[in-house]
Amino acid sequence: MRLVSALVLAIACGATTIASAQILGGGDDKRPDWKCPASGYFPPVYGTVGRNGGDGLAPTEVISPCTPDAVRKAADAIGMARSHGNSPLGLKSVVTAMFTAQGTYAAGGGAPTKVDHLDFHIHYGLPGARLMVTTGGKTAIRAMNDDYGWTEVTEGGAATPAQAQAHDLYALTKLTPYGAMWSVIEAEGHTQVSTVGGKTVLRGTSPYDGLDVTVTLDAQSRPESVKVVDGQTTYGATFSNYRADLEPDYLFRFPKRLVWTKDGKPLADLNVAFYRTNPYVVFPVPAAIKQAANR
Amino acid sequence: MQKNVWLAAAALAVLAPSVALIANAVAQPAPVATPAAGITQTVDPPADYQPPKKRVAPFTGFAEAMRATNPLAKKPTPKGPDGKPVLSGLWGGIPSAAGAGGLRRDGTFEPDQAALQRASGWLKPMYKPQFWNKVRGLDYGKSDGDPVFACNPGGVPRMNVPAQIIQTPTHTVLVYNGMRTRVVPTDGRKLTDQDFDMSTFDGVAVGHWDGDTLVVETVGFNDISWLQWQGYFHSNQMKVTERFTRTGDLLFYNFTVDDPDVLLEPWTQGTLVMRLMPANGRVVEGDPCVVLPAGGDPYLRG
Repeated sequence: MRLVSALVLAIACGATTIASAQILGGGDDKRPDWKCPASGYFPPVYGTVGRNGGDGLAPTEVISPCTPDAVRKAADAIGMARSHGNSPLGLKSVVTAMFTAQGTYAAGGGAPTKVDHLDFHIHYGLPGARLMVTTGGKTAIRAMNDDYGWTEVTEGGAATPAQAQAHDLYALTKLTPYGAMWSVIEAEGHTQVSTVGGKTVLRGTSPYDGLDVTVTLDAQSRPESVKVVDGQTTYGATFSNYRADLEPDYLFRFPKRLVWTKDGKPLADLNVAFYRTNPYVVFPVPAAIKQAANR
Repeated sequence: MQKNVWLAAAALAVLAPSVALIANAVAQPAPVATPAAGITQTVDPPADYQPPKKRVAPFTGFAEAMRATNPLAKKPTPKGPDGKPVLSGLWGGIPSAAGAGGLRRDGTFEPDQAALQRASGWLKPMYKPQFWNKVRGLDYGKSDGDPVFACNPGGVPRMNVPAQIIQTPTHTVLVYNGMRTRVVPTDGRKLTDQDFDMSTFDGVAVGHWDGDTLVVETVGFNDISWLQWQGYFHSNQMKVTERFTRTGDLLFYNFTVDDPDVLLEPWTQGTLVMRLMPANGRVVEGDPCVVLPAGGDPYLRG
């Protein structure tokens, strides 16, 4: 029934290739016979999908032939892996994310304290992030976009340079299942797959950030814990109570509980109350921040 | 050497639907393409290939790949008597290197499509902060708020690349899926104050050539249509600048939205790439639009 309604919508609205897909069905995830080069990296190959409302075609990156099967399986387990048919999967189908959580958070290196709520907005691709921690009705906001870091008075409001925090904030994006997976996906053929204590462990470093990320998977191939080594700093995260109903209808899986550590000390213990995958989140770099960084 | 056997099969598999559905209109007769047409990307890279320094957004990467590796981009670009590239022709999608559309698992079509579409949109319009929650609200409103789902025209730039272009010395006609048409003067006239005061879905356009690129500037919009299905609204002060560049038998298209009332900066999502289709096709009228009941389909968020 849903397929029928989608088909009607697609036709009514002039979608292009969407409608044609309805007649096919089933099948597994076959990969083309592309060989991974000795370098362990493969140039991006793109597929195209039609967009709702007749918005034309959108390109999506196809899985690299260098990617280990265990990575593909883990990405699939949490909804990152998507395809359009008996075709190679795209593994980067979560580009942005946002969640709201209650719990504790350690600001400024101190001991964790109870927060009213913590809001984390992430763009894994740019990369960009905005962490908003509200305590006692006051909100402290940190933001980053690529190499720029700053604090804000309100979301997107007046900004103060905080360049040194940009890297730390970026590392926190890895303390989400999707962020950690981006590292082992982007490491392609360099991702190591091992079994420790009966659990599958993925370890890889994205060529775009240099962070050493280790992901331990649970029995359903979902990220269960993460270790991120950034120079002299080590971050940790555990994820539990994966839920599909945080983002109904889209087959994404996100944990209800996230526990973060930094250099072995508690950083956050969060219970997720609201979650969205691929939402509208933006991180415009204020002119003053650019000027300050260029001085 | 490129290992294009698999890609050729994928192209054949995807070609018929992607061409036949140039619009919700069906090309008649259905154009036939050779397997080589549209075979796209390097799948036999050098052994020492290394990734670029920075991540590349899909729209950017796809356009670069097409420009660098698609054989259709290597063909000569035909020029008219005025020395300008010939844009006239039917323009259709590039066969997907990912293969034909379909269902990987039963019941996953809508969420898979939605996820893929959303994930392609790395470069989002930078709305002023006071509008961020509005965009999210429109986006999360499922299909109910989308003006297209209420049978309004998609408008410019949402219609994006036309399915057919007809070029004359003084005008360029852009024909879209379902036969919606724009007639763009390219006779040197400028936009007038009256043009800015119009309130339309498709706007009022004039075109000029910037080297080998046709530049179409459009004003006179209403504030009903959206830029895209994710709740990207705009004001009636919007100006859209579209660029059409033909390279061989590929058409590179992008648009820039200037809307200082709601955007912090002009927005260009990326470049769409289309290929020249056989001339015996045609664009026909679309089916009548049907307004769906409120509630719509939960998978079509936005």
